Amino acid sequence: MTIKDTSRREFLAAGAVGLAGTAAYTAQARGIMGVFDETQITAVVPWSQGGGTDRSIRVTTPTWSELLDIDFVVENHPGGSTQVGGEELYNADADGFTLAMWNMPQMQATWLFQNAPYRIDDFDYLGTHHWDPTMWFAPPDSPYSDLKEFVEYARENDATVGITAAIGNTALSALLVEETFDLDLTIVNMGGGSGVRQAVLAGDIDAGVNQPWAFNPDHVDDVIALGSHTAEQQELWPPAPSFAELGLEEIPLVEEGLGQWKLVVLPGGVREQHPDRFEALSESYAAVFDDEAFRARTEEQGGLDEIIDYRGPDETRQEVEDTAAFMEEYADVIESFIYDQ
Amino acid sequence: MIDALLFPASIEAGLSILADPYVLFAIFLGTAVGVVFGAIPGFSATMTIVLFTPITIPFESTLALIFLVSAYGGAVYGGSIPAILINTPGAPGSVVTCWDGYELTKQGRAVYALAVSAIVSGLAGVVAAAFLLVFAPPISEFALNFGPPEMFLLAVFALTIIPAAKGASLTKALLAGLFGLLIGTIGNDPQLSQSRATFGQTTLLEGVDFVVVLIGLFVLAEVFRLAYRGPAVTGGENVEGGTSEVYEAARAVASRPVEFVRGTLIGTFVGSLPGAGADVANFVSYNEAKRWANDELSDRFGTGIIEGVIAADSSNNATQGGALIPTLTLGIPGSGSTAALLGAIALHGLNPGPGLFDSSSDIVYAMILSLFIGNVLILIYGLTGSQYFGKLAYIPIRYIIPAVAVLSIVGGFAVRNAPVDLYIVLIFGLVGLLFIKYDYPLVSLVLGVILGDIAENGFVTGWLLTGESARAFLFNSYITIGLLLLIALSLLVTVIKD
Repeated sequence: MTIKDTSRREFLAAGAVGLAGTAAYTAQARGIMGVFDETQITAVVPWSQGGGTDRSIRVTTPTWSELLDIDFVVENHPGGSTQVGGEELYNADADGFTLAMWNMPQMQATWLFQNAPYRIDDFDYLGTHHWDPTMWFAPPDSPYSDLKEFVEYARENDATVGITAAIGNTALSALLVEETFDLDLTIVNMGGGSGVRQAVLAGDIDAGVNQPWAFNPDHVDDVIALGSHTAEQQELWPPAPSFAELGLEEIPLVEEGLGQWKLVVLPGGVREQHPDRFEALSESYAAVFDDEAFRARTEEQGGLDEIIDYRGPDETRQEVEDTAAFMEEYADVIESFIYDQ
Repeated sequence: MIDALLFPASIEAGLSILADPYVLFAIFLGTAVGVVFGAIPGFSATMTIVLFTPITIPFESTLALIFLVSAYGGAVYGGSIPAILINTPGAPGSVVTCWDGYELTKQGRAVYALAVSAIVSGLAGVVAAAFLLVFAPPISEFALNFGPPEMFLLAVFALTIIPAAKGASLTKALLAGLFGLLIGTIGNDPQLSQSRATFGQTTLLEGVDFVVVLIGLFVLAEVFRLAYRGPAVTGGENVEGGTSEVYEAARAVASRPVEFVRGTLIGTFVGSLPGAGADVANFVSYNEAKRWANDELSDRFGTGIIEGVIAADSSNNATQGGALIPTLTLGIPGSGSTAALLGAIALHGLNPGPGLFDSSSDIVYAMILSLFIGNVLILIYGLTGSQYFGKLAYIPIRYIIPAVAVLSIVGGFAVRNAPVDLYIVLIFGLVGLLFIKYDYPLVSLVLGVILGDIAENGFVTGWLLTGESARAFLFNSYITIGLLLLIALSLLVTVIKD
């Protein structure tokens, strides 16, 4: 062994050098992650950088940081259909220094259809951010121009429908359309909004289910918008009719509107144990939506300003419960999809 | 008309952005930061971009994005430095660089290998940037034709190089590759999000991060081996003169233009394919270099020949230009690094996608043009610094072992701040040691882990989208036919050689 001629002191010294060097590197990583630094707030994002949830928090924190006079650090914890980030928040101290920008119904799906250890009561809710309706898209040369015609097409042909995730609003919309009209669709998880967008643009699928903001309204002339899973016409993608306008009210959740909420969530207990911090966070978060700079940034984000929909803590909690209720109501639809395949 | 095609008006706007001294400083600083961080084992280009993206938030978007693009290029090159010096790829895109680069270091020719790496990396980066500038629209259109069946076949094609890896036995290479594919299945399945082999660990729902696996296999295993075996570097203080080695390196590259051009073209092409980055490109490039070499030279690959370094490093730096094609024109990242860059682009208020060239053409062209300067800087940093980098290889192992061991553990943890990754680094350190002891090729295992996701996604999605028909994987398009021919050729050559 070559190492035996090394004195213990030299070996320890080298170890110290290694530790010092890596400590600097760790300090940098830690500084960015902000795990131990309570002079800043950590915003957990349970998706990768660059996705819709990530972009939502990053357009918000500059103004929020100014209003609270505290730095925000965004941490991405993707994986497990948001369960990895969800558990990060669940296990965080309820001191107001950690929060998350989450999305639902993905949030509820992690405990309804996966093995997430948390439930509604394990979190406090600060407010919603925006609501992006579920919408169906088709390649530009498709032989149908709205969902009604697509249903007729799917009765006569094998039709493939791309969704953004196995369990969520896009999956539920596809499954509800399939069940309502007794179709035999091939529903394919394209692994995210960009996967659906790419597949629709390339014509790899007959239809794709996504949200208009997530799909990116710059593509408004590149694809056919078959319709939105809503009663009213949404504003972000003007040419798209709503399901109700197409006379498709028999599809469940059209009246309520099926879409994706982005919301800010805290570990459970902040409101009770640190009411002052909860109030400061809550008031400053509400004030963000009146800020001109914030509005300008959202406008630059593909028309995000069109769908901003802030609701306060109690109303947000109600939305969380309502969403959980309808996800539970249609649990058998989703479970049969998962287990049949 | 050709002038208008090659030099649209917005290039002028891009050039005027580059004339700003702050922007030039961002390129200088970004490239230097990239080289330094890329050279830290475990610090990939992706991690460098992700770490520095939040720091750029206060800066103006053009400045920030040019800094990040420069850091990206620098980090891809930087990853080759520890690959050559301590058999530790700084990034997944430098795994292949170890094979001949480290062998050269063991022969006392680290400076020579580093200089060749700097020259081919810088030049390949410039050539790929030219491709990006001129051919972005048609190449990105072609890359968009790669649907799931094509991606599956591309992964299979890349997997066929396993048996050719480092002259290992066919059986051992295949077993190692299959083990890698098995590791790749850990985590939620890509279709129905149901967990597989996570043992109750939430972090593993996302699967095993292959950078963590790489750190265990290539860093920690090497630390164990060094401690067990003693110094690997021979030649000690008898380092060849720095200047003469750099001159020798320039001559070596100049006399092998075919190898350089082949690697650069493979890197640019593979980089432009969604999902395939430097990690796939340098395997393919190395395999092709080996395949096209005569029998005598082919047998010497992996023993410390400069053709191996040229094949690896010309391809990995060329992927930057290629990977930016679908990223900037279609909003589709060609690799992990460009996915991180895509996030940065969105963060700074730009909309990645087909509209980007229209809405922010000046910034996009400034980013592309900055690659020319950045890659020339890589050449300069590499050549002027290679003598000093070269000396690092001769630091006594009593200093290297504890420093690298701590670095690998911290690096493994820093990938996603997950405690479970500490165990994974340790487990794969021990697995790596066993692989080395019993002569199983480490790279086959890594390739299985990296390509597993791409192959599984391509197969399952392709199977569903095409009505569960095997025909799609045979005759879906002329691309599938071409890839099948390449796979057949690759297997045939391997079997004949074996």
